[in-house]
Amino acid sequence: MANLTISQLKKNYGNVEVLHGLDLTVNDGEFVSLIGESGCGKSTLLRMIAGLEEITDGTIAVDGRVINDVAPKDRDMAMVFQNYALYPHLTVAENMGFSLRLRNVPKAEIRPAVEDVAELLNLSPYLDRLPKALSGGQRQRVAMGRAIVRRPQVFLFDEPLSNLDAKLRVQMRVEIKALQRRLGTTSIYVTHDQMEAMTMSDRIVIMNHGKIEQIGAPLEVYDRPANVFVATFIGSPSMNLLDGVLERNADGIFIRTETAVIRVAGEISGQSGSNVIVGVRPEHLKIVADATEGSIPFDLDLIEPTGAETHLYGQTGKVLMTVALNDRFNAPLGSSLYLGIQEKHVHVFDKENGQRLN
Amino acid sequence: MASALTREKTRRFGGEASLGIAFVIPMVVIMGGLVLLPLLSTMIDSVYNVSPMRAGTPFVGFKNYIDLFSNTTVNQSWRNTFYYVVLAVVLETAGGLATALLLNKVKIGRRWLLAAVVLPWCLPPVVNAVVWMWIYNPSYGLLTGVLHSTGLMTGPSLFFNDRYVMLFLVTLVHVWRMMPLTAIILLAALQSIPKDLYQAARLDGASSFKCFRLITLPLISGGLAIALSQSTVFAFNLFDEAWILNRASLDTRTVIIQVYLDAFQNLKFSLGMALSLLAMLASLLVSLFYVLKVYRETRFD
Repeated sequence: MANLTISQLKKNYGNVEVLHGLDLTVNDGEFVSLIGESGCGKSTLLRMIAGLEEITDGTIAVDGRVINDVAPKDRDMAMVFQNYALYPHLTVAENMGFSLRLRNVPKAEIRPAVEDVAELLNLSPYLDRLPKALSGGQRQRVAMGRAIVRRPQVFLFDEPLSNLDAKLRVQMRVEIKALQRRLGTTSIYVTHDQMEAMTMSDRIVIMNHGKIEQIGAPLEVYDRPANVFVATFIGSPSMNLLDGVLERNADGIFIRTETAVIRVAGEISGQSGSNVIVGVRPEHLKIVADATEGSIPFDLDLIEPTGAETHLYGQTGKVLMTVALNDRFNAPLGSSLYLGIQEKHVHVFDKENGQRLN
Repeated sequence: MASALTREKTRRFGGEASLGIAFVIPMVVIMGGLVLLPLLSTMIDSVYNVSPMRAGTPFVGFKNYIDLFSNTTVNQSWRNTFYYVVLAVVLETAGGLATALLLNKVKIGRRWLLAAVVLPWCLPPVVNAVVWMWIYNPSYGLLTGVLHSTGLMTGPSLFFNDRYVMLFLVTLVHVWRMMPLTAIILLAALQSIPKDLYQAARLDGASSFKCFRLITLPLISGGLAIALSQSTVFAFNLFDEAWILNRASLDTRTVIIQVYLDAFQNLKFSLGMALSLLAMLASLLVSLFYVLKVYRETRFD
């Protein structure tokens, strides 16, 4: 059992506040990702949970017990570091059994425990090697193994896959997720890779400038971003944004932009005549033959075939837009096209504060 | 003829190999001329009887070595030297490690502290010894003054009358001079340990002491072996401190002072050569022990 509760957590470096009162609850067995750009405070938050950074204000509690003043070694959390932090002078087995050795577990018990985990991670043939004789992926596994052997209450991952090549990263992503499911250990995973966050997590925490922008399940965050930051941060290529004015009339709710009038399905808060931002994901746009009601004129600048998808870059008025098509597409560059939108995929945000309106 | 030879050589070695040889030659010449050749000629002369006081240089085999082993004065200087070596290496290593750990913790002004620490090592050994001679002076020395004013000692200070006190005081001067080098070597080793290893160890449940014993110590073992070797070699070669403080006194005489006396006072060149070779051999053997037993390969890639 390990429910982690963070409330009003603040961190100052000198006079600079880098975390501005964060609230977050991680339930027992949950896999939660912290995602955001470099410097958003996600690693700092993780290191505060681990006890490696001091807490300026607020509390971190495990199962209701505040652990602010508990030493890292007594928090019963294991961390996997970005560059693995393996002890270079110890063999794989010694690295993995290090924490048990420090807990004075008898040698006769350490070895079987290490062997079990090594089996799990396909590390059995390497137990007597030094870390320098291992590949990057193997080192990553040893770092994982070191965390697993001690059966901690919480796993903390600090961008553990960022030093691996793309193929290995995907493979390890799957392995870590499967392992976490099996062990059922509460996990907090810091990453800047949204693919990792989306595919591995039960919930995602999106951070920006020391604040939490949104907490939610991966698809929830993708389908209903809470604000403009989350809307543009999650999803690749990034969401298209158009400035517009909200109009309510007898036919429904519309957003009038510089080049088009876009219909919005469902309810929406906000006064008629207020300034808003309309967001449409590139994959929710399609090419339509002619100007129809609600279509957006689009001047094609560039076609980027990625294989699975075709990305079109161009502009409507002076605003740059991206379109992602599932099919192959060919048209002369510079041609004028029209884009169609499905109403249900339109996101509307307040122009003033960036918060979601629909 | 000459050009044919050159061409032949070029073909045999290739352009790159001869460039490599060209780079190595200066070092080989310098080391060979200034270290290996003198060493070799010393070895050869140590089995002859070379003396400016007599005609000819008769071959005497290992007589010089045998004479040295049965000479009580020489044996006394060996005992003194071993005393110096053990005490100096222990004090330099312990003190140097403590200094390095402390400097590694200091965040502000480390450069200036480092400069201050290195100062004694930069002083010429003779100057250093003379300074300490004044400190130890029985009538106006700093040490005497401090001991008197704190009441730890009354009456005249007679440090120089007790052999062991004197050996200790000579060692202290040497340690004062050489400890900074050990500290710097160990500080460099400490700084090469990645910080996240300590963070990982803390999360693994290590106390500060365990971190030191299980992470720091093994990971500075390379630097430690180097520091131990150099302090041993320099302690074996101790001369200036003992000579300045106590001249040729048998109580504090080192092997190297004995070499100097044999070779240049008594003009028994070959005897001095034999003794200096034995001193070299002794420090080499101890250093070899460190390299084999203390040094560990700790590089990651």
